[in-house]
Amino acid sequence: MPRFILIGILVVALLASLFVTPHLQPLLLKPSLFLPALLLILLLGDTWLALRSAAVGGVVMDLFSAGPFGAYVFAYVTTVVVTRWVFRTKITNRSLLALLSLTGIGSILASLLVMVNSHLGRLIDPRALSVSPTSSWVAVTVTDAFRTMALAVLVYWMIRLFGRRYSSLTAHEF
Amino acid sequence: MTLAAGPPQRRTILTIGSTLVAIVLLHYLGVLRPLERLAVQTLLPIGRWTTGWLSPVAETRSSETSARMAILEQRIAELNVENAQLQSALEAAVEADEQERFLKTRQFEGVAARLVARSGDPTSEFVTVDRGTRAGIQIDAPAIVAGGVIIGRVIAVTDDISRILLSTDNRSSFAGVSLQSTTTQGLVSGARGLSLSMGLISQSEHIEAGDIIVTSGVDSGVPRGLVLGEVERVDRQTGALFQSASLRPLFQSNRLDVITILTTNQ
Repeated sequence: MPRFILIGILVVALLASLFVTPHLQPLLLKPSLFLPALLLILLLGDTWLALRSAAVGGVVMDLFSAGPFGAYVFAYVTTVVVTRWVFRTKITNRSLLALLSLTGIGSILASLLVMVNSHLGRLIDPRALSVSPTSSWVAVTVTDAFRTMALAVLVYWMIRLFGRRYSSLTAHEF
Repeated sequence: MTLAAGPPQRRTILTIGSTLVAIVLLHYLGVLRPLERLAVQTLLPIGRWTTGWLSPVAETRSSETSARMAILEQRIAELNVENAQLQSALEAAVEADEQERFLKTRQFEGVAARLVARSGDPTSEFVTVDRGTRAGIQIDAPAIVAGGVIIGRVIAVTDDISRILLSTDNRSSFAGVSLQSTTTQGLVSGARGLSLSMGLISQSEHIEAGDIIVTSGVDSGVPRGLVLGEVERVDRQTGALFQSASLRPLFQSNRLDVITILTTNQ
Protein backbone atom coordinates (compact mmCIF):
# COMPACT_ATOMS: atom_id res chain seq x y z
CA MET A 1 0.00 0.00 0.00
CA PRO A 2 1.49 3.39 -0.93
CA ARG A 3 2.95 5.18 2.05
CA PHE A 4 1.08 8.43 1.40
CA ILE A 5 -2.20 6.58 1.92
CA LEU A 6 -0.97 5.26 5.26
CA ILE A 7 0.16 8.76 6.28
CA GLY A 8 -3.24 10.11 5.24
CA ILE A 9 -4.98 7.48 7.36
CA LEU A 10 -2.81 8.39 10.36
CA VAL A 11 -3.43 12.13 10.00
CA VAL A 12 -7.19 11.64 9.69
CA ALA A 13 -7.20 9.26 12.66
CA LEU A 14 -5.19 11.71 14.79
CA LEU A 15 -7.40 14.69 13.95
CA ALA A 16 -10.54 12.64 14.51
CA SER A 17 -9.26 11.50 17.91
CA LEU A 18 -8.50 15.08 18.91
CA PHE A 19 -11.44 16.98 17.50
CA VAL A 20 -14.30 14.67 16.48
CA THR A 21 -14.81 11.59 18.65
CA PRO A 22 -14.61 13.48 21.98
CA HIS A 23 -17.54 15.63 20.78
CA LEU A 24 -19.68 12.69 19.73
CA GLN A 25 -18.89 10.44 22.72
CA PRO A 26 -20.61 7.32 21.34
CA LEU A 27 -21.83 5.23 24.27
CA LEU A 28 -20.22 7.80 26.58
CA LEU A 29 -16.82 6.70 25.30
CA LYS A 30 -14.13 8.80 23.70
CA PRO A 31 -12.52 6.40 21.30
CA SER A 32 -9.04 7.12 20.05
CA LEU A 33 -8.68 6.16 16.41
CA PHE A 34 -5.02 7.09 16.27
CA LEU A 35 -3.72 4.17 18.32
CA PRO A 36 -5.52 1.48 16.28
CA ALA A 37 -4.25 3.12 13.10
CA LEU A 38 -0.74 3.19 14.53
CA LEU A 39 -0.81 -0.46 15.57
CA LEU A 40 -2.26 -1.66 12.32
CA ILE A 41 0.29 0.25 10.26
CA LEU A 42 3.00 -1.26 12.44
CA LEU A 43 1.63 -4.71 11.76
CA LEU A 44 1.39 -3.93 8.08
CA GLY A 45 5.14 -3.82 8.31
CA ASP A 46 5.97 -0.14 8.12
CA THR A 47 7.87 0.07 11.40
CA TRP A 48 9.59 3.35 10.66
CA LEU A 49 6.39 5.09 9.72
CA ALA A 50 4.76 3.73 12.88
CA LEU A 51 7.64 4.93 15.06
CA ARG A 52 7.77 8.39 13.53
CA SER A 53 4.01 8.71 13.64
CA ALA A 54 3.97 7.61 17.29
CA ALA A 55 6.48 10.36 18.09
CA VAL A 56 4.74 13.14 16.13
CA GLY A 57 1.20 12.05 17.01
CA GLY A 58 2.14 11.60 20.65
CA VAL A 59 3.54 15.13 20.87
CA VAL A 60 0.36 16.54 19.31
CA MET A 61 -1.79 14.53 21.73
CA ASP A 62 0.33 15.85 24.59
CA LEU A 63 -0.14 19.44 23.40
CA PHE A 64 -3.91 19.04 23.74
CA SER A 65 -3.86 16.87 26.85
CA ALA A 66 -4.25 18.07 30.42
CA GLY A 67 -1.80 15.44 31.60
CA PRO A 68 1.93 15.97 31.96
CA PHE A 69 3.68 16.66 28.67
CA GLY A 70 5.29 13.47 27.37
CA ALA A 71 2.76 10.99 28.72
CA TYR A 72 1.33 10.16 25.31
CA VAL A 73 4.48 10.34 23.24
CA PHE A 74 6.39 7.97 25.51
CA ALA A 75 3.41 5.63 25.74
CA TYR A 76 2.93 5.43 21.98
CA VAL A 77 6.58 5.03 21.08
CA THR A 78 7.08 2.37 23.76
CA THR A 79 3.94 0.58 22.58
CA VAL A 80 5.21 0.49 19.01
CA VAL A 81 8.62 -0.86 20.08
CA VAL A 82 7.20 -3.49 22.45
CA THR A 83 4.44 -4.61 20.09
CA ARG A 84 6.93 -4.98 17.30
CA TRP A 85 9.24 -7.01 19.55
CA VAL A 86 6.36 -9.34 20.50
CA PHE A 87 5.42 -9.53 16.84
CA ARG A 88 8.89 -10.69 15.82
CA THR A 89 9.82 -12.91 18.74
CA LYS A 90 6.77 -14.19 20.59
CA ILE A 91 3.78 -14.31 18.28
CA THR A 92 5.49 -15.24 15.08
CA ASN A 93 2.70 -16.89 13.13
CA ARG A 94 0.70 -14.64 10.84
CA SER A 95 -2.82 -15.81 11.52
CA LEU A 96 -5.80 -13.62 12.18
CA LEU A 97 -5.61 -14.71 15.80
CA ALA A 98 -2.05 -13.41 16.01
CA LEU A 99 -3.12 -10.07 14.58
CA LEU A 100 -5.99 -9.84 17.06
CA SER A 101 -3.70 -10.72 19.97
CA LEU A 102 -1.13 -8.12 19.01
CA THR A 103 -3.61 -5.30 18.53
CA GLY A 104 -5.29 -6.17 21.83
CA ILE A 105 -1.97 -6.30 23.68
CA GLY A 106 -0.82 -3.04 22.08
CA SER A 107 -4.03 -1.23 22.96
CA ILE A 108 -4.01 -2.30 26.61
CA LEU A 109 -0.28 -1.62 26.90
CA ALA A 110 -0.72 1.92 25.56
CA SER A 111 -3.51 2.65 28.07
CA LEU A 112 -1.39 1.31 30.93
CA LEU A 113 1.61 3.35 29.84
CA VAL A 114 -0.42 6.56 29.56
CA MET A 115 -1.62 5.98 33.11
CA VAL A 116 1.85 5.22 34.48
CA ASN A 117 3.42 8.12 32.57
CA SER A 118 0.76 10.54 33.79
CA HIS A 119 1.60 9.62 37.39
CA LEU A 120 5.36 9.79 36.80
CA GLY A 121 5.00 13.06 34.91
CA ARG A 122 3.38 14.70 37.89
CA LEU A 123 6.76 14.56 39.61
CA ILE A 124 7.82 17.20 37.08
CA ASP A 125 4.47 18.93 36.65
CA PRO A 126 2.40 18.50 39.83
CA ARG A 127 -0.54 20.49 38.43
CA ALA A 128 -1.07 18.11 35.53
CA LEU A 129 -3.97 15.68 35.58
CA SER A 130 -3.23 12.02 36.11
CA VAL A 131 -5.22 9.00 34.99
CA SER A 132 -6.24 6.57 37.72
CA PRO A 133 -7.16 2.90 37.33
CA THR A 134 -10.81 3.36 38.25
CA SER A 135 -13.50 0.93 37.17
CA SER A 136 -14.50 3.27 34.34
CA TRP A 137 -10.87 3.38 33.18
CA VAL A 138 -10.75 -0.42 33.08
CA ALA A 139 -14.04 -0.53 31.18
CA VAL A 140 -12.84 2.01 28.63
CA THR A 141 -9.47 0.31 28.23
CA VAL A 142 -11.02 -3.10 27.61
CA THR A 143 -13.58 -1.58 25.22
CA ASP A 144 -10.76 0.18 23.37
CA ALA A 145 -8.88 -3.10 23.02
CA PHE A 146 -11.92 -4.87 21.58
CA ARG A 147 -12.60 -2.02 19.19
CA THR A 148 -9.01 -2.09 18.00
CA MET A 149 -9.28 -5.82 17.44
CA ALA A 150 -12.50 -5.34 15.48
CA LEU A 151 -10.70 -2.83 13.28
CA ALA A 152 -7.91 -5.37 12.89
CA VAL A 153 -10.35 -7.84 11.35
CA LEU A 154 -11.29 -5.20 8.79
CA VAL A 155 -7.66 -4.48 8.07
CA TYR A 156 -6.90 -8.21 7.83
CA TRP A 157 -9.48 -8.42 5.08
CA MET A 158 -8.00 -5.34 3.39
CA ILE A 159 -4.52 -6.83 3.60
CA ARG A 160 -5.66 -9.93 1.79
CA LEU A 161 -7.57 -7.86 -0.75
CA PHE A 162 -4.75 -5.43 -1.47
CA GLY A 163 -2.15 -8.17 -1.14
CA ARG A 164 -3.24 -9.46 -4.49
CA ARG A 165 -3.24 -5.99 -5.98
CA TYR A 166 -0.02 -4.50 -4.65
CA SER A 167 3.10 -6.56 -4.87
CA SER A 168 4.81 -4.00 -2.63
CA LEU A 169 2.37 -4.63 0.19
CA THR A 170 4.52 -5.93 2.97
CA ALA A 171 1.98 -7.86 4.98
CA HIS A 172 1.29 -10.51 2.38
CA GLU A 173 2.17 -13.26 4.82
CA PHE A 174 -1.00 -12.71 6.78
CA MET B 1 5.85 -10.39 6.91
CA THR B 2 8.68 -8.36 5.42
CA LEU B 3 9.42 -5.09 7.10
CA ALA B 4 9.27 -2.18 4.75
CA ALA B 5 12.16 -0.16 6.05
CA GLY B 6 14.16 -2.53 8.21
CA PRO B 7 14.05 -3.12 11.95
CA PRO B 8 14.95 -0.38 14.36
CA GLN B 9 18.30 -1.21 15.93
CA ARG B 10 18.98 -0.81 19.60
CA ARG B 11 21.07 2.27 18.98
CA THR B 12 18.27 3.80 16.97
CA ILE B 13 15.76 3.12 19.70
CA LEU B 14 18.12 4.73 22.20
CA THR B 15 18.43 7.72 19.88
CA ILE B 16 14.67 8.04 19.63
CA GLY B 17 14.31 7.66 23.39
CA SER B 18 16.91 10.29 24.16
CA THR B 19 15.36 12.61 21.56
CA LEU B 20 11.99 12.26 23.26
CA VAL B 21 13.53 12.96 26.67
CA ALA B 22 15.17 16.04 25.18
CA ILE B 23 11.85 17.19 23.68
CA VAL B 24 10.09 16.83 27.03
CA LEU B 25 12.85 18.68 28.88
CA LEU B 26 12.91 21.45 26.29
CA HIS B 27 9.14 21.72 26.61
CA TYR B 28 9.34 22.27 30.34
CA LEU B 29 12.19 24.74 29.86
CA GLY B 30 9.98 26.67 27.45
CA VAL B 31 12.43 26.42 24.56
CA LEU B 32 9.89 24.73 22.30
CA ARG B 33 7.20 27.32 22.93
CA PRO B 34 7.37 28.96 19.46
CA LEU B 35 7.10 25.58 17.74
CA GLU B 36 4.29 24.47 20.02
CA ARG B 37 2.47 27.72 19.39
CA LEU B 38 2.81 27.20 15.67
CA ALA B 39 1.44 23.66 15.94
CA VAL B 40 -1.45 24.74 18.15
CA GLN B 41 -2.33 27.72 15.94
CA THR B 42 -2.31 25.44 12.92
CA LEU B 43 -4.68 22.98 14.56
CA LEU B 44 -6.99 25.48 16.29
CA PRO B 45 -9.01 26.29 13.13
CA ILE B 46 -9.75 22.59 12.74
CA GLY B 47 -10.97 22.46 16.33
CA ARG B 48 -13.16 25.54 15.86
CA TRP B 49 -14.54 24.13 12.65
CA THR B 50 -15.39 20.73 14.11
CA THR B 51 -16.99 22.34 17.17
CA GLY B 52 -19.16 24.52 14.97
CA TRP B 53 -19.94 21.65 12.68
CA LEU B 54 -20.68 19.03 15.30
CA SER B 55 -22.81 21.15 17.62
CA PRO B 56 -25.66 21.60 15.08
CA VAL B 57 -25.40 17.90 14.24
CA ALA B 58 -25.99 17.03 17.87
CA GLU B 59 -29.02 19.34 17.91
CA THR B 60 -30.66 17.99 14.77
CA ARG B 61 -30.20 14.40 15.82
CA SER B 62 -32.81 14.93 18.54
CA SER B 63 -36.40 14.21 17.79
CA GLU B 64 -38.90 17.07 17.93
CA THR B 65 -40.08 16.00 21.36
CA SER B 66 -36.65 15.75 22.86
CA ALA B 67 -35.76 19.05 21.25
CA ARG B 68 -38.73 20.70 22.95
CA MET B 69 -37.79 19.05 26.21
CA ALA B 70 -34.28 20.36 25.84
CA ILE B 71 -35.63 23.87 25.28
CA LEU B 72 -37.85 23.58 28.36
CA GLU B 73 -34.97 22.22 30.43
CA GLN B 74 -32.84 25.08 29.26
CA ARG B 75 -35.60 27.52 30.19
CA ILE B 76 -35.88 25.98 33.66
CA ALA B 77 -32.14 26.26 34.05
CA GLU B 78 -32.27 29.91 32.99
CA LEU B 79 -35.08 30.59 35.46
CA ASN B 80 -33.12 28.89 38.20
CA VAL B 81 -30.16 31.04 37.39
CA GLU B 82 -32.33 34.16 37.33
CA ASN B 83 -33.84 33.12 40.63
CA ALA B 84 -30.39 32.58 42.03
CA GLN B 85 -29.32 36.02 40.90
CA LEU B 86 -32.41 37.63 42.43
CA GLN B 87 -31.85 35.82 45.70
CA SER B 88 -28.24 36.85 45.58
CA ALA B 89 -29.31 40.48 45.17
CA LEU B 90 -31.76 40.10 48.08
CA GLU B 91 -29.06 38.64 50.21
CA ALA B 92 -26.89 41.57 49.28
CA ALA B 93 -29.51 43.98 50.59
CA VAL B 94 -29.76 42.16 53.92
CA GLU B 95 -26.11 41.62 54.51
CA ALA B 96 -25.19 45.16 53.55
CA ASP B 97 -21.64 45.32 54.75
CA GLU B 98 -20.54 42.07 53.30
CA GLN B 99 -22.47 42.51 50.09
CA GLU B 100 -21.32 46.05 49.55
CA ARG B 101 -17.80 44.76 49.47
CA PHE B 102 -19.00 41.87 47.34
CA LEU B 103 -20.66 44.15 44.79
CA LYS B 104 -17.61 46.34 44.60
CA THR B 105 -15.36 43.46 43.88
CA ARG B 106 -17.85 41.77 41.58
CA GLN B 107 -16.95 43.86 38.58
CA PHE B 108 -16.04 40.85 36.59
CA GLU B 109 -13.86 41.02 33.60
CA GLY B 110 -13.82 38.07 31.33
CA VAL B 111 -12.55 36.69 28.09
CA ALA B 112 -14.89 34.92 25.71
CA ALA B 113 -13.28 31.81 24.30
CA ARG B 114 -14.38 29.18 21.85
CA LEU B 115 -14.22 25.52 22.68
CA VAL B 116 -11.85 23.76 20.30
CA ALA B 117 -11.34 20.32 21.78
CA ARG B 118 -12.58 18.02 24.46
CA SER B 119 -10.72 15.58 26.61
CA GLY B 120 -9.51 12.55 24.74
CA ASP B 121 -8.69 10.86 28.04
CA PRO B 122 -11.44 8.38 28.78
CA THR B 123 -11.76 9.28 32.43
CA SER B 124 -11.23 13.04 32.29
CA GLU B 125 -13.73 15.80 31.77
CA PHE B 126 -11.92 18.84 30.51
CA VAL B 127 -12.24 21.10 27.50
CA THR B 128 -9.72 23.13 25.57
CA VAL B 129 -10.53 26.70 24.53
CA ASP B 130 -8.81 28.98 22.08
CA ARG B 131 -7.58 31.69 24.46
CA GLY B 132 -4.56 31.64 26.71
CA THR B 133 -2.19 33.82 28.67
CA ARG B 134 -2.04 36.34 25.85
CA ALA B 135 -5.71 37.08 26.52
CA GLY B 136 -5.05 37.47 30.25
CA ILE B 137 -6.18 34.02 31.38
CA GLN B 138 -4.50 32.62 34.46
CA ILE B 139 -4.39 29.28 36.22
CA ASP B 140 -7.37 28.63 38.53
CA ALA B 141 -9.53 31.23 36.79
CA PRO B 142 -13.21 30.21 36.88
CA ALA B 143 -15.00 29.54 33.60
CA ILE B 144 -18.66 30.44 33.31
CA VAL B 145 -21.45 30.28 30.78
CA ALA B 146 -24.46 32.52 30.33
CA GLY B 147 -26.11 33.59 33.55
CA GLY B 148 -23.10 33.02 35.77
CA VAL B 149 -23.13 29.22 35.86
CA ILE B 150 -19.64 28.06 36.70
CA ILE B 151 -18.56 25.14 34.56
CA GLY B 152 -15.06 24.63 35.92
CA ARG B 153 -11.72 26.26 36.30
CA VAL B 154 -8.54 26.64 34.29
CA ILE B 155 -6.00 23.97 35.14
CA ALA B 156 -3.44 24.61 32.43
CA VAL B 157 -2.78 27.56 30.19
CA THR B 158 -0.35 28.29 27.39
CA ASP B 159 -0.01 31.34 25.17
CA ASP B 160 -2.96 30.47 22.96
CA ILE B 161 -5.04 27.77 24.64
CA SER B 162 -6.41 26.98 28.08
CA ARG B 163 -7.65 23.73 29.52
CA ILE B 164 -10.67 23.88 31.78
CA LEU B 165 -11.38 21.05 34.19
CA LEU B 166 -15.17 20.78 34.27
CA SER B 167 -16.86 20.83 37.65
CA THR B 168 -18.28 17.38 36.87
CA ASP B 169 -14.82 15.78 36.77
CA ASN B 170 -14.05 13.62 39.81
CA ARG B 171 -10.96 15.71 40.57
CA SER B 172 -12.82 19.02 40.60
CA SER B 173 -13.99 20.58 43.84
CA PHE B 174 -15.47 23.92 44.89
CA ALA B 175 -16.57 25.27 48.22
CA GLY B 176 -20.34 25.66 47.89
CA VAL B 177 -23.07 27.32 49.85
CA SER B 178 -26.84 27.12 49.61
CA LEU B 179 -28.60 30.25 48.46
CA GLN B 180 -31.65 29.32 50.51
CA SER B 181 -29.66 28.92 53.70
CA THR B 182 -26.33 30.68 53.64
CA THR B 183 -25.04 28.77 56.62
CA THR B 184 -25.37 25.50 54.72
CA GLN B 185 -21.91 24.99 53.32
CA GLY B 186 -20.14 22.01 51.85
CA LEU B 187 -17.66 20.77 49.30
CA VAL B 188 -19.01 20.31 45.78
CA SER B 189 -17.17 17.68 43.74
CA GLY B 190 -17.65 16.15 40.34
CA ALA B 191 -19.32 12.77 40.11
CA ARG B 192 -18.15 10.52 37.27
CA GLY B 193 -18.24 13.33 34.76
CA LEU B 194 -22.02 13.39 34.79
CA SER B 195 -23.24 15.20 37.88
CA LEU B 196 -22.10 16.85 41.10
CA SER B 197 -22.14 15.81 44.72
CA MET B 198 -21.96 18.02 47.78
CA GLY B 199 -20.40 16.59 50.90
CA LEU B 200 -19.23 17.74 54.32
CA ILE B 201 -22.58 19.41 55.04
CA SER B 202 -23.09 19.70 58.75
CA GLN B 203 -25.94 17.56 60.09
CA SER B 204 -27.44 20.59 61.79
CA GLU B 205 -27.92 22.47 58.51
CA HIS B 206 -31.05 22.34 56.45
CA ILE B 207 -30.85 21.46 52.79
CA GLU B 208 -33.51 20.08 50.48
CA ALA B 209 -34.18 19.23 46.86
CA GLY B 210 -34.50 22.32 44.70
CA ASP B 211 -31.98 24.40 46.65
CA ILE B 212 -29.50 26.27 44.49
CA ILE B 213 -25.85 25.86 45.41
CA VAL B 214 -23.43 28.65 44.57
CA THR B 215 -19.72 29.14 45.10
CA SER B 216 -18.95 30.38 48.59
CA GLY B 217 -16.00 32.53 47.61
CA VAL B 218 -13.60 30.54 49.77
CA ASP B 219 -11.71 29.10 46.81
CA SER B 220 -8.84 31.20 45.56
CA GLY B 221 -9.80 33.17 42.48
CA VAL B 222 -13.43 32.01 42.49
CA PRO B 223 -15.91 34.72 43.49
CA ARG B 224 -18.95 34.10 45.63
CA GLY B 225 -22.30 33.58 43.96
CA LEU B 226 -21.47 31.63 40.81
CA VAL B 227 -24.09 28.95 40.34
CA LEU B 228 -22.82 25.38 40.77
CA GLY B 229 -26.01 23.35 40.56
CA GLU B 230 -29.40 22.46 41.94
CA VAL B 231 -29.96 19.95 44.72
CA GLU B 232 -31.67 16.83 43.42
CA ARG B 233 -31.46 14.51 46.41
CA VAL B 234 -30.25 14.74 50.00
CA ASP B 235 -28.60 11.81 51.72
CA ARG B 236 -28.99 12.14 55.49
CA GLN B 237 -27.99 9.19 57.68
CA THR B 238 -28.41 9.09 61.41
CA GLY B 239 -25.11 8.70 63.18
CA ALA B 240 -23.11 10.10 60.29
CA LEU B 241 -20.98 13.17 60.88
CA PHE B 242 -22.12 14.92 57.73
CA GLN B 243 -24.95 14.80 55.24
CA SER B 244 -24.46 14.86 51.49
CA ALA B 245 -26.46 15.85 48.45
CA SER B 246 -26.57 15.07 44.76
CA LEU B 247 -26.59 18.13 42.54
CA ARG B 248 -27.69 18.60 38.97
CA PRO B 249 -25.26 20.80 37.05
CA LEU B 250 -26.99 23.68 35.27
CA PHE B 251 -25.01 23.31 32.08
CA GLN B 252 -24.75 20.59 29.51
CA SER B 253 -21.15 19.71 28.85
CA ASN B 254 -21.88 18.33 25.41
CA ARG B 255 -23.35 21.65 24.29
CA LEU B 256 -20.60 23.94 25.45
CA ASP B 257 -19.34 26.21 22.75
CA VAL B 258 -18.56 29.76 23.85
CA ILE B 259 -17.20 30.01 27.37
CA THR B 260 -16.29 33.07 29.42
CA ILE B 261 -13.22 32.91 31.61
CA LEU B 262 -12.97 35.47 34.40
CA THR B 263 -9.71 37.35 34.27
CA THR B 264 -9.86 39.51 37.38
CA ASN B 265 -8.55 38.26 40.67
CA GLN B 266 -11.34 38.24 43.21
